Amino acid sequence: MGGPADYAVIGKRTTRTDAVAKVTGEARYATDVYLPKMLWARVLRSPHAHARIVSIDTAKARRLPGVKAVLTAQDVPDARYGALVLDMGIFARDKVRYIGEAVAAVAAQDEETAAAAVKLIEVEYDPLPAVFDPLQAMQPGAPVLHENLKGYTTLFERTARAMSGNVNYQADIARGDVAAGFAESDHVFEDTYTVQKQHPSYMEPNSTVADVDADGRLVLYNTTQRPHINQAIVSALLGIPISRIRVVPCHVGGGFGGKNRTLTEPAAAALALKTRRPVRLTFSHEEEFTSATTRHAALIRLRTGVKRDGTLVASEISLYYDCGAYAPTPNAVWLGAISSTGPYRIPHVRVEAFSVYTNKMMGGAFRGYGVPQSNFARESQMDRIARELGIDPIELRLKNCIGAGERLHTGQRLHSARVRETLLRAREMVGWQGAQLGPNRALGVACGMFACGGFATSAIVRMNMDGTATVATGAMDMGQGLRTVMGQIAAETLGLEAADVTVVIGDTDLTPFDVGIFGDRGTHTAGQAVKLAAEDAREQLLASASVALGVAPGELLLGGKRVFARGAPERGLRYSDLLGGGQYKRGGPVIGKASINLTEEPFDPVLVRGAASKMFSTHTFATHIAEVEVDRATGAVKVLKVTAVHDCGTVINPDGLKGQIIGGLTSGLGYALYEDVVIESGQVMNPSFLECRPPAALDVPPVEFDTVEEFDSRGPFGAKGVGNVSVINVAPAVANAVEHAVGARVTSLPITPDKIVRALRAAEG
Amino acid sequence: MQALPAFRYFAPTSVDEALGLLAELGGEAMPAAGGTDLVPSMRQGLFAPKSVISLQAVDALRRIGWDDGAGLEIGALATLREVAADAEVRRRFPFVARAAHAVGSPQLREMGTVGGNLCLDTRCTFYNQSQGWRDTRGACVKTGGEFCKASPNGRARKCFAVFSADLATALVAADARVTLRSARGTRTLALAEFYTGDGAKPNARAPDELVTGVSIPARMQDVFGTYLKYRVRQSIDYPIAGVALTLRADAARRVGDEVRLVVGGVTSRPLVVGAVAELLRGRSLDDALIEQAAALARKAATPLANTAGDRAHRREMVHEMTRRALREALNHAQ
Repeated sequence: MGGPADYAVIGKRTTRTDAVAKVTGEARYATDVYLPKMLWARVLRSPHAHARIVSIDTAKARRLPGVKAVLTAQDVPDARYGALVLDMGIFARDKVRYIGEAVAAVAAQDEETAAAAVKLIEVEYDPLPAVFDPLQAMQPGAPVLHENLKGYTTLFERTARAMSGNVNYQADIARGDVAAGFAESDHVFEDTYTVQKQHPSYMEPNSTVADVDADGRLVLYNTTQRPHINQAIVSALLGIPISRIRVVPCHVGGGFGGKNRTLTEPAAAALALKTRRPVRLTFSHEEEFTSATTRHAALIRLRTGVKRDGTLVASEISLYYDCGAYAPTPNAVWLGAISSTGPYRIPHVRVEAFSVYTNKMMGGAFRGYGVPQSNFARESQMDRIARELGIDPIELRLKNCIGAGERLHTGQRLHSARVRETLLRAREMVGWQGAQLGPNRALGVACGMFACGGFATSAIVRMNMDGTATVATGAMDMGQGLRTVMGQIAAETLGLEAADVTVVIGDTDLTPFDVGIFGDRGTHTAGQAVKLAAEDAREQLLASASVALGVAPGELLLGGKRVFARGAPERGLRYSDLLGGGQYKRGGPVIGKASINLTEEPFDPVLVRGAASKMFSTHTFATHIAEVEVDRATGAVKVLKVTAVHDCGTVINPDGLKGQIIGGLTSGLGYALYEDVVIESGQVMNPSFLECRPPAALDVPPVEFDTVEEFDSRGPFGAKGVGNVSVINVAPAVANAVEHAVGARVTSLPITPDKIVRALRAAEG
Repeated sequence: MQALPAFRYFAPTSVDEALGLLAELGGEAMPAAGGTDLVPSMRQGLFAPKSVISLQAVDALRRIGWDDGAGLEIGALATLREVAADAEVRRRFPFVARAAHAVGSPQLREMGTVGGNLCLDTRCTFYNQSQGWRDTRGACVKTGGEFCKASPNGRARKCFAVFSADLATALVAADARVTLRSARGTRTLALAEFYTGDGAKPNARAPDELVTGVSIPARMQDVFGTYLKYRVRQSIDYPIAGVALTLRADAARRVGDEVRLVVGGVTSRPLVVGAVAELLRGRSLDDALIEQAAALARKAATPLANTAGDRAHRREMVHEMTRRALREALNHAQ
């Protein structure tokens, strides 16, 4: 096991592979794709939260000059897609279930004609009662969104059994005996927390240009985190073989989980097949806020039993995640359930987790993936416990935090877990003397855990004749810099410099399968495949050199693009000599490959019912401390500084790590203080960046960060991930700091000034 | 956002040429300066002028100048950045520079102009939306319908859309006058009178008129002034409450005749709260008086649930910003 100091490329600063292209504007995004004879698509969307479709008349739209195709559900196969339950078609069929749902799509010679044609489509609706609150949607007699839910295809049998009414996914976890645990407890704390919908706020809207190539194959130029899954979904929805579809992802203008979706691809593909011309479908920013996906709004109840000394004994956890009208990622609540204990040792745990349909835009994947919700609740309550028991909030966490080798409530054993060290380091960095710093100024701490990595991926590493290497991976770079990291991993393994490695990503014709970049899979899981493929290539290189040099492979070393004999560096060959003309004499070209699935065995069915996946590969941890100042009169919160310490395993790219930490913090701050997709009677009231308010540059405070050294046995060079865990602590850290600063506890996000003022008034009586 | 509707584009290079075009095209044309308000609204289908008359090349309207007699004159085409950075403005009316700097973001201040800020359209949750969004609720008063969607029970026949221009609010407090020109002639009026209070038709500009400039009387240069903008984010956001105050007090902190409190961001105009001026005039500023004045401002500010932010909180912030503005004045007087 080597440390970072032993590496030539790993852990070293390196220029991003796409830096120049992005700075000069040459990098091609999906909306930069213009093909000859390209048509423009627009989508007709439902104005009703819930209604039966009585009739659709497209005749007028089709007659408009310049219109080349109009499609509705009647024109595409009756197929559905989804994550655990396949519930959504390309277009609404029979019913619409939220304002903004796609009802029809038009392809026309230009954008204006497409927009005009959409208005000419006549739809007769018969409005139905709608339901907007997940708890109400679970009541008997509530309007049912999917009457045929039980008839839908599901990916897990256990999931299917739990589905009923508007509940599309349910998981239960039970460890120990919570009743006994509460009986043993000296204090029981019971709290309810609510969190809002938050849009991922990527700058680039969803977009696809679909084309039919000379061989009649469908080609999709798009912006996505999961090209191979998109290929499979379009195949299933349109009934064409996977091999007849090629997905060519472009540079991604931000994804954050929101591009781990299939939104524009199927309709664009259907229109291209219909017209036999390239078709471009790009969401407007308004469509992003009404018809894409957001973080799930949620209600969380925690009942936690504690010993007088702060030892956590039992916790009963109820999670209700508002899934919206369809369930592209109901398993967000599953991730929430896994992290709902926080990174703590709690002997008796019961979790009930529900994903519930409502007549609203969909909840989906978004950085943190179900965990920011439950962690806000857990870490807010931890501070309440600390305060009421008179224990320092960091001491309370240190007393209970879990370590490597221990098992979570799910039964999964932790491979690496240095949450304790993140707490200690963060405490040291801020010079913690208690939370209060002065009048209206205080620190707030939160720590958290995220299930990291896993699922299927693969990689190919080819050695080129000039001694360089080309990596092919289906894993996407969504702007987080994955391409650069994959290059570093291959370079380190093959004795190359980072600049010697070309990384080909995403294109389904050129790269092997990856399930999509989410859940801290990129560096940890796709990176492990790249490392194994590079090792395979290295073995082949050594074998070839061994024959050429007459030295046993075990006696050969790599370095400076040469293979040479141990102890006799002059006795060697340059890679280019081995791989150039030479390779044809000494065996075939060098191509390394790896195909892995880092997911572990299924969860223990005694502890867990309704698991949405097998066990994750490993877990990441972090501690955040926010320093805030609150204006008592206005309720305005100024975040002065955030200190972040991560247990993310070995750091591969320090600049990439820094970017992820600051980016995660920014998302988390928006969640904590500003952002809220407000829905009234099913309609999004603020469908814009202006009104939804993601933080702007001036709102992001200085960040101090560090990592604790850790080697995770399952990741490449010991690496884990940081994309998700960097988000999940920010809101509770800010909420805790606000309470320490002014004594106002806000239990619903975002923590807006009016809530603080109200809480202060209430506290003053 | 949708594609811009088709329109004819004119780019006159002189005021007379622009006025000629406005006279000829009348109500079918809209003048555009920086375009930061007009273009997004056109993309939402809120305006579909047949012609757009760009004023970008009318250099004569860019000037900012001080004259001991006439006071500060600001051409309508001066950008918000230019006003915020101008040495005369900063020296004589720092609160006006501050208000200009409070608008939007650097990019918006680089394009946005004084004339555009004065003519900023009123805003409302139910109005500043795409055509498709608005279609789901039907027309409101501002879009030609009968009732205001934001009013309680949706039965008001008046538009309550909110006027949110930071600079205009400060300029009203500065007792500024606005100049409007048309082929028919020139008129100047008190900026406060320029605003109608009607959200559907927020200002008195006739379709053939052009706002050519604004001036602050020379006497205002030794009057204390401040502008406080309350918002959630540090940039971009419109004010939740914007409060501008000008006030002259003597050494004994006695308030003279020159006192104005103007509130932006809550009603359909820069709201001159006359009751506050009446209360303060001739009285000596102290904490108790400030409390009374702030309560009066709060009473006058009656927002509907028509922009981001909790309604009660918006009123409370009018109270708080008024209190802070008056405390600043008190500190200044001491």
